[in-house]
Amino acid sequence: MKEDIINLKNQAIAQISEIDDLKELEIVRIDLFGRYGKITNLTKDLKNLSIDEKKHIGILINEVKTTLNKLIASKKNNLNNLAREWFDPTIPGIQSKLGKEHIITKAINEIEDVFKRIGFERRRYPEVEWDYFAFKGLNFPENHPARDDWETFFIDAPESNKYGPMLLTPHTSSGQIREMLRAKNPPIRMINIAKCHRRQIDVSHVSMFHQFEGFVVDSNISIVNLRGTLDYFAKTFFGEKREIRLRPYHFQFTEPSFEVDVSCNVCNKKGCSLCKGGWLELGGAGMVHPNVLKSCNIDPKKYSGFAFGWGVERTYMMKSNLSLPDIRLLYSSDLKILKQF
Amino acid sequence: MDIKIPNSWLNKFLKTNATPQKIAKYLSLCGPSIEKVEKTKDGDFIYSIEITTNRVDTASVYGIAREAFAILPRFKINSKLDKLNTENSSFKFLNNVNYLNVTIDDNLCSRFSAVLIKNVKVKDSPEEIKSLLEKVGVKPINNIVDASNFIMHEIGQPVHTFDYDKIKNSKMILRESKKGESIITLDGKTFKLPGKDIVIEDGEGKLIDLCGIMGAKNSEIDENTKNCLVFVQTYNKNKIRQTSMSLAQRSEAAVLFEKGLDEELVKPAILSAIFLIEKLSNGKAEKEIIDIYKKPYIEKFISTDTRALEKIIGIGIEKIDITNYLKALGFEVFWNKDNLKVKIPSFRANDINIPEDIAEEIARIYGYQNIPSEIMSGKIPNPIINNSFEIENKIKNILVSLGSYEVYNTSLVSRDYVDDKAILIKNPLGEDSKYLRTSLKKSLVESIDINSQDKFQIHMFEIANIYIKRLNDLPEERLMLSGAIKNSSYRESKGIIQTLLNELYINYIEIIEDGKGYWPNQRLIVKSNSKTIGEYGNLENGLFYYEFSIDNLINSKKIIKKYHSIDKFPPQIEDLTLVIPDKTYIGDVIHSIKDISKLINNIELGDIFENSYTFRIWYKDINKTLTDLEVKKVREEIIRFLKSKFGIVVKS
Repeated sequence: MKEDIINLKNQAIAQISEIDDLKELEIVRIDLFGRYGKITNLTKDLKNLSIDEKKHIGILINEVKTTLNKLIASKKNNLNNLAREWFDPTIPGIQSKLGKEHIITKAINEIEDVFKRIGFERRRYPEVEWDYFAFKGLNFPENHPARDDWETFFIDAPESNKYGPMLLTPHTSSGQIREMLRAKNPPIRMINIAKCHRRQIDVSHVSMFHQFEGFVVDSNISIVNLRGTLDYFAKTFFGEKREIRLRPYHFQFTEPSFEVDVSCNVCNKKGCSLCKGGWLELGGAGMVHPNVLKSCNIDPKKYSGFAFGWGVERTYMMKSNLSLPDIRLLYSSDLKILKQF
Repeated sequence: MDIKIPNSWLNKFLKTNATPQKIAKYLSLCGPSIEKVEKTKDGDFIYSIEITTNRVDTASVYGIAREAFAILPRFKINSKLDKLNTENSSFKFLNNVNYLNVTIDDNLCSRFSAVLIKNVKVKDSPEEIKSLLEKVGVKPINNIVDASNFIMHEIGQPVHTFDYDKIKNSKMILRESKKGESIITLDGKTFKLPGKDIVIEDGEGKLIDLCGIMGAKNSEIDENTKNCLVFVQTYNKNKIRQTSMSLAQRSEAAVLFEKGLDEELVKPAILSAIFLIEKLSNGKAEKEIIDIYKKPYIEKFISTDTRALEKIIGIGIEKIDITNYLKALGFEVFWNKDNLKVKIPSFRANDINIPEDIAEEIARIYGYQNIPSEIMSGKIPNPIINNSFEIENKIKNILVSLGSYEVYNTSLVSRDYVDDKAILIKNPLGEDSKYLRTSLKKSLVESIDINSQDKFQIHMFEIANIYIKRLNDLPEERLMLSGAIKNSSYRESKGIIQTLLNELYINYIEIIEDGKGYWPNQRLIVKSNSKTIGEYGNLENGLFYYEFSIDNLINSKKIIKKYHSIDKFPPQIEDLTLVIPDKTYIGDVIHSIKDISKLINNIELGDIFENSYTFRIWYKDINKTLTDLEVKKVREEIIRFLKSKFGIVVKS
């Protein structure tokens, strides 16, 4: 028996050392250690031996087992490095065919999201409106240039006795009147994002554009709160290091009125070729004019508010640094352009 | 409006040691926005300044100096303002004079002044004047014309000069023009007037001035002019804008007049003009100035109190500071405890009307940058349910994940994009943007066409309003989802629609119904709750097209999602290949099979080869595992039924 074991061991060693293939090695391993393997069988034979022999042969079998296992393991390692199956992980993947939402949708969603976090509800109001909502109720005097044929599109339709001519909204501010009439009582905290039209077209203007209008009316709303809200927007939308500043401006429906700038991210307020003295113009804002509140039966002695209305395209361009040479490219359906955004 | 102001000219009124860069920076923060400062070859600096429409009082060298004087001290910079000289006792202002016979309509002209300067010598202006005019973009012409331009830029009041001897009978009638009257302006352009423009005719009835916009060629100053009439007016701003815009004649004077000028500016303007023209031309002005000013300026006051101001600004500002800021801007302030009464200077009378305006003046000089920043506390408004933003975004996400590109097309289109329910723009920019879209289809087809060189599948969609005319009301704005697919099979395209509707949990049926623009028999309408919610199919131009109303999608019947326990008894699944005769609707076949037995749990179409269609059928009983025999019985029933109803046989 002892000799048989030694022979088996030598045979196995010889066999294993000649192997150069993983599959073959596995066959040999099974031949030795499998359920009916040669070594396995030896172990089974032990029960027929005397206690003394059992002890002696047992030790020998264990030695052989350890030796052969080590040998197989080391052979396996060698073979692993030499004879592994060929595989090319550098081959390009087959990408899933995703489309793309339009950059304006992306911009609108990001803007909406920022204001949602501080309690603004999104609204939608008519794009074709009566003069009253777009101008008169917003404290525009009868002969204001924005109300004439050169700046605003009018609809060929009979005038309303109550609300005047029909037009395409040149700003989202018409939503202020609609929202106050709907809500009747403050608090109001809305964000109105919509298509607007102005009678102009050139490299930096398209007659159709999108605007977002923030509008808040409540008791004790002051310039402090307007600054707070716009600061929150600038930091969340553009980045936490960004700041806003207000400068005097003029709008019919706000008093005081402001031009809002955001600090330049390239030079960090030092001034560079991309900005104006460290700041970039964002758009207009102001405290709601008392006449506007009155036109919607809200008492300006009890309530005050603020509003801001900015171009979606412009604001997003400032964030994305896409440096578009022509704003009209945003409305191109050319896939070569759409795929870039 | 944008104006240019040289620093050297500003220094004539503003004495300060601030650098032009500092002046630009601080003015922009608290007053007019200075867009840029450019250095000139001769070492001067030129400010480009944006003037808002309410602040035409700052549209001049003096106006900017006045603002700077109020603003600079807030930044600890000393400044002094040399005021305009408005008093000169040697002249009399009378409402008629012997050298000019004037008739005016004071609805058109609220203040009319003129003076004759005799024996002028027309020649070039001195270099200093020429240089300043060139810096503000005005071409020097001769001393008389240059003087009037100089005054306009210096104090913001347009001044015109006539050759007095060309005004027939020394007579002027200021009136509204009649439609079709014509005039040749100083720049040589001939205009046929639209009518109701402000004009002046002379004693022979010929037009000698297109008031507020430009003088007429026939009365201009030339090298032979001996006597000149200096002319300073305040015109009805709306009239000026109307004429200037409709003639597209946007002169500097018109841009100022249309903002509404201060009548009180007429006097300093004409006195400055007399002084300058006398100096430059050796002429001598008459001592009597005609000045027709029927409704002189009445002093204006506004009252408010510190509490009201604090409510607007958000913080309290010391009374002494309030006084200082307002005084520097030309206001007078009278306190009674915490109440203040503010006297408004005439040049701000159009702009300052309510306490909020006073708050703005105080806050901007105090500095918006010094006001704290804090989001409002207070209640959040009640939510509005049922708004469509959520479903719009869901649709966009689904379509994008199915390979579609979203486009934004313009709402304004040409006649051939719309049906007869379209609304028309009264003042379009062109024929191609005269109507509002009544369908998204044509623009989408165009979007696909732009990419016609692309050989792969193209799928584009848009969610936008269409506009449907309504009688005596605003149009209906119907939010639509439309999409078009090119280079794709009908089954693949339809699969996209089905995936979309399933993901939106919409319970719907489809009906074949022909429609305009589609191949006959290749369009389906989608109904839910017996209401049409959309349509899709193959267009005659080869594209697959679909459209749905977002509102109808929102209001459609929904599949209610409930939890089903996982099958205890697995279904038996088998493939059945059927030979189907031509012109059989596979949709009908599938519906019929489903109805045969409740043990048929699901059926799907797999491969198609010629007229052989392979269906995968799931047989299931929720209470037990089906035996082969039970399945066989159902299968035989299917085959028998299909044979008798459709003539379908199993492929051998």
